[in-house]
Amino acid sequence: MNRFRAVAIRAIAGRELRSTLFNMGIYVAIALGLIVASFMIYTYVTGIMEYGMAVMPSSKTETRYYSELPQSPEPMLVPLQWTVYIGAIYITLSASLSISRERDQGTLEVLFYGPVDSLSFVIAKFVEQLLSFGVVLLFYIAYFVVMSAISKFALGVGFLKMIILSLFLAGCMASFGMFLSSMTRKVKTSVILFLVFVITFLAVPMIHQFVMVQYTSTMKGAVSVARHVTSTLNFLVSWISPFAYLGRGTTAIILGSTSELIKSLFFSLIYTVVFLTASIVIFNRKGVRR
Amino acid sequence: MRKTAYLLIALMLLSVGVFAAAPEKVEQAVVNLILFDGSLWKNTISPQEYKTFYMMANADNILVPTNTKVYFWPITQEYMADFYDLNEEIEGTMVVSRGNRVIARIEKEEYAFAYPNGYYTGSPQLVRGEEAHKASAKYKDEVNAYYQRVMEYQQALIDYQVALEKFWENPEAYRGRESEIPKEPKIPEYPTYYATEVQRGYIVNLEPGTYTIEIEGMPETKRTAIAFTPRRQGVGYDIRPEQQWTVPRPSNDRSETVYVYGKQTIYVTPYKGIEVNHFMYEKLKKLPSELSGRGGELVYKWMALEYLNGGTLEVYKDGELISTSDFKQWYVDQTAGAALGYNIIEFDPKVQGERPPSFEGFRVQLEGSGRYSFRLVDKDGNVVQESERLIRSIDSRSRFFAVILPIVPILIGGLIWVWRASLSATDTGTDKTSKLEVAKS
Amino acid sequence: MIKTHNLTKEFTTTVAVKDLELNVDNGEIYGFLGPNGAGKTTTIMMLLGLEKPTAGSIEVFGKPLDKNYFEIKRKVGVVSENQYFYGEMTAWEYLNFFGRLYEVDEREKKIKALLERVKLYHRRNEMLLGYSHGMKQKIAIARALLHDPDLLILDEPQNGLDPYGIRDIRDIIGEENAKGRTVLISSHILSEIEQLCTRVGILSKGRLVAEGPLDIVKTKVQPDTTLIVEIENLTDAIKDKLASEPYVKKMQVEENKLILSVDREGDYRAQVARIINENSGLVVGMQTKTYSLEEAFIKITESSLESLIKEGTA
Repeated sequence: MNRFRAVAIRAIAGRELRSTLFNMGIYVAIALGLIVASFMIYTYVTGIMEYGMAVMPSSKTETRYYSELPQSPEPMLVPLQWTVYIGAIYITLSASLSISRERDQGTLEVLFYGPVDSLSFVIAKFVEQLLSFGVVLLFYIAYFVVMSAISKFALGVGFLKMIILSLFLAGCMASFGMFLSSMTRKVKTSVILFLVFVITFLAVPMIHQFVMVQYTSTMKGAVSVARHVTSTLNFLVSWISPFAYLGRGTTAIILGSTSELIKSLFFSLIYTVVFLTASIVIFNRKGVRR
Repeated sequence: MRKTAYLLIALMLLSVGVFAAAPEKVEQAVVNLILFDGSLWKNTISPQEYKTFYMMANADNILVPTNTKVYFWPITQEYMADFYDLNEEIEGTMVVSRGNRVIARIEKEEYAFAYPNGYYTGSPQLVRGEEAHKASAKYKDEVNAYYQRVMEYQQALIDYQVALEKFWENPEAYRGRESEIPKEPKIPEYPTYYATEVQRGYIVNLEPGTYTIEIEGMPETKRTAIAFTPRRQGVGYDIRPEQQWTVPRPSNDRSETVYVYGKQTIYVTPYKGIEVNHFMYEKLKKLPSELSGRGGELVYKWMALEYLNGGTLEVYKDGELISTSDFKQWYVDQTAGAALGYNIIEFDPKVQGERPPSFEGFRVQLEGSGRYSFRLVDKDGNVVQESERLIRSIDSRSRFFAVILPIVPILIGGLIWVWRASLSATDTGTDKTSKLEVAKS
Repeated sequence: MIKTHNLTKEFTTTVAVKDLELNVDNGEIYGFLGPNGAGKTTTIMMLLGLEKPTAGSIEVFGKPLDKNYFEIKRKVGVVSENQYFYGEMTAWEYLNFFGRLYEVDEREKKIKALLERVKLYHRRNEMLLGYSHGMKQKIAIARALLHDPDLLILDEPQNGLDPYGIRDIRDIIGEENAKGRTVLISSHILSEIEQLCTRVGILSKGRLVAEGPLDIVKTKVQPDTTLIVEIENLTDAIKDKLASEPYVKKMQVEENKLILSVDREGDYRAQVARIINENSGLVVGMQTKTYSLEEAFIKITESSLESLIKEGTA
C-alpha cells in the first residue's frame, strides 16, 4: 500500500465517519439495539422480582424444568447478541448504500479527480464502516456496563468474546454491503438488492428447518426432494450470508469452545477479504461516472 | 377447483406410504446394551445400522448380543427391536480388542440389579454370580413375607371390624378400660428392597478409549465401543425460593449465578452431577435414533445423578462467613383458613405424624443487597469440589434505567441534527448580493 | 505538459475519440473546443484517469499517466461541467477535506485565502446544500486551486454564471496563468476563449480537426482580410482600378459599399483610400473584418476536413 493510498484512505474514511456521525441514522440504529436489550433486561429483572430468584444457567446444562430465561452463561450475553444483530444490519444497509449513493449523486467522480483510485476508495469506505460500527459498539458497551453496575447482572468473559466477535462480524457485513453497492448505480436499486438478500438469508434456513422435520423414512417423494434442495440452499446461505458467521461465533461463545470461536473468526476474515476484493473488481469495471 | 382436488389427491397418495404400510422387520444380530449412565443403567440396542456405541469408562456395562427382529419406527425416527417376536441370545466368548491387540476375552456371567432403598429411589447395585441369586432370592422372600403379612392383616381387619361393632354396642362399658378399645391394624408395608431376576450377559469395564468387541467367530456381532469419561464432576443444586417452593430451579455449573431480589430465603438441595459430552451421553441412552444427540458433538452438559444429604452449607457475604446451615428435612405447613398460604418449617415426625417431609436441603437467608456465595462442606470439614455458587441481589432501579438509556443516543443525534440544520445556507440570490455583504462587513 | 498519442476511446456502439494527438504546452491557456458529443469530456476523463483509453497513451508532466497516477493527480486541479458536492458539508469542511486529501500544507490559511478570493469566506460555515450554482462553481474553483496544482483542467467553468461570475472566473484563470499554471479549458462561451486562450484545439466527431494559436487557426479558415469601404461617389473607374490591383482577391459591391478581400500579409488600407481619392471618390468609412472564433469554429466543424491543421507555437 503506497503512502498516497494511505493518505486517501485516511481522508475519505474521516470524511465519511464525520458524515455518519452528523446524521440521525446511526443514532436511531443504536437506540433500536438498546431498546431491544432494555426490553430483555427489563423482562429478566421483572421475572426475578416476581419469582424471587433466578439461576442464569449455562447452555451446557440440561435443564429439567421449563425456564423462561435464556440459555446463556451470562445474562447480558443474549441482549448483547441482539444489539449486535441490529447494529450489524445497520452496517450492512449503510455499506450497501455507500458506493451507489456517491455514484448516484456524482460526488464519486469529483473525488476521483484527486489522488484516489478504486482500491483506496473501497478500502476507505470499508474502514469507515468499521469505525462507525466501533462507535455503535462503544454506545453498546457503555450501556451494558451501566446496566450491569445498576442491575448487578454480571459481565463475564463471554461478553468480551462477543465484542471481539462483533468486530469481525462487522467486517463481514460491511464487505457484503459494499459488494452489493459496487454493483449498482442507484440508491434505490441498492436498497432493493439489500432487502432481497436479507430476506433470502433469513428465509432459507427457516424453510430448510421446516422441511427437515417432515418425516421421510418411507416417503421418497416430494418432501425428500425438497430436503435435498433446501439442504443445498441452506449450505450455500450458511457460507454466503454474513449473519451465519455471527451465528457460528455466538454458538462457539455459548459452548465455551475457544477453538470453534477462533475458527469462526478465521472464516469471517476470509469472507471479508473475498467480498472486499470482489467489490474492488466490480467497482473498477463499473467506473466512477454517474 | 379441479386443480385443487387433484393436488389434494396427490398429497394423500404421497402420505399413503407413511400410514398404510406396517414397518418392515428384519432379522439381525443386535447387541442389547445395558449401560451405566452415572447413577442408573439404561437400556438401548446396537443394530447393524449403528455399529458404534458409547459407554461410560471405568464402570460396569452389560452387553447381550441377541438375534431379534429390527424395524425402523418413523414417528420417533429410531430403530427398535421386537424381542417378543424373536429373542435368541447369542452364546460364545466375547473378544475385546484395542487396535490390533486383544485385551480381554469375556464369558457370559450371571447378574442382577438390587435396589436396597427401593426401586424408585434409584441407586441400584449390580450384583454378580452367587450374589445375584441371593439378591433375587431375598427379594422373593420379602415379597412372600409381605403377602403373608397382607393375609394376616386382612384377618386382623376382619377381627377389628367385629370388635368395633361390639364396642359400638356399648361404648360406655369401656370407660376406664381404654386400652381394650379395638385398634385398627396397621397396613403392612410393601418391602423396600427390590431385585431383578438373575440374567446372563457380558459385563465389561473399560478404561477410556475406542475398542472393538465381537463374539468370537460371529462377525455380525462386531461393534466399536467408545468408552468416555465425564469432563468434570461436581455438585449441583435444586434451588427453591420460599415464595415458590414447588418450582425448584437447577444450578449445575459453578459458573452459574443465582440472582435474587430483596430479602430472600432460599432452600438448596445438593446433588452429585457430571459434565459429559452431550452427543455421547445421548447416544448412550438411546443409540439407534437419528435425533438423539444431534448437533451436540461439541456440547458438554451437566447431568444430575443422585441427591446428596449431610454436610454443612457455608454462606458468605462480601467474602466473609455470615452463617452456616445444616442439612434438614422441611415441611410446607398450609395456613389454616380459606385464604391460600403456607409456612416452611423444619420437619418433625412427632408433629407431622404420617406425613412425609416436603423436601430436604439447606436453608439460606439473604438480607438484601450484596454479593453472597455459598459452598458445601462435608462432614470431615472439606470443601466439596465445584460446590461454590455466587448469589447476587438485583437492583429494581435497573428497570427505570432500561427505559431511559435508549433515549440517550436519540438525544445526542437530535442535538447534532439541530446544530447541523442551523448551518443551512439561506437563499443567496446572485453573487452580487454576496459582494454587497462583503462590502458591508 | 499534456501529450497524447493515438488516444482512442471506443464504446460499444460509438467511437468517442479517435487517434487524438493532443499537445498542451507548459504555461499556456489551451482552449479545448468542440460541438456537443465531439468527445471533449471523454478526452478530459481519460486525461484524469477516470476512463480507460481503448488505445493510445497519455503523458502528463512528461510522465505516463498509468504509471504515475498518484503523482500526477496531486498536481492537477479540476473543475468539471456539473458541480457535485457533499451537500451536508459546509464550504469550510468541504475544502478542509480536500486539503487533507491533497496533503496541503498550512491548510487552514490557504482555505481562508481562497474563500476570500472567491468572496465566500463569510459563508464558510453554511452547508453547500443551500449554495447557488454560482457559489458552487466558485467553491469548485477554490477546491481546484487549493493544492497549488501545476495544471488546471476546467470543463465549462463559466456555465450558468451571470456576467459577474463569468468575469470573476476569467480573472482567476488569468491570474493563475500569470503565476505559471497551465490551463486546459473547455467552453462553449467562445468569446471567453478568445479573451483567455493562447492556443486552441477543436475536436469534431472524436478527431482533432484544428489546433494551434488562435490567430493561425482563424487564418487557416479565413486566409484573407476583408476590407469594407463606404464610398461617396462610387464610380466604375474606382471599381475597375481596385479590381486590377494585385492584392485585391475579390470585390463585392453593395450599394455604396465595396467589400474587398485583400491579402492577409500587409496593410492595404492607405493604398485603397488613395485609389478612391484619385478617382474622385470620397472614403466615408473603412473597417477591417476578421473571422471571430465562433465563425471559425462553426466553419471548421461543419466542414468535412479530415486533415489536421496544425501550427507550431514558435
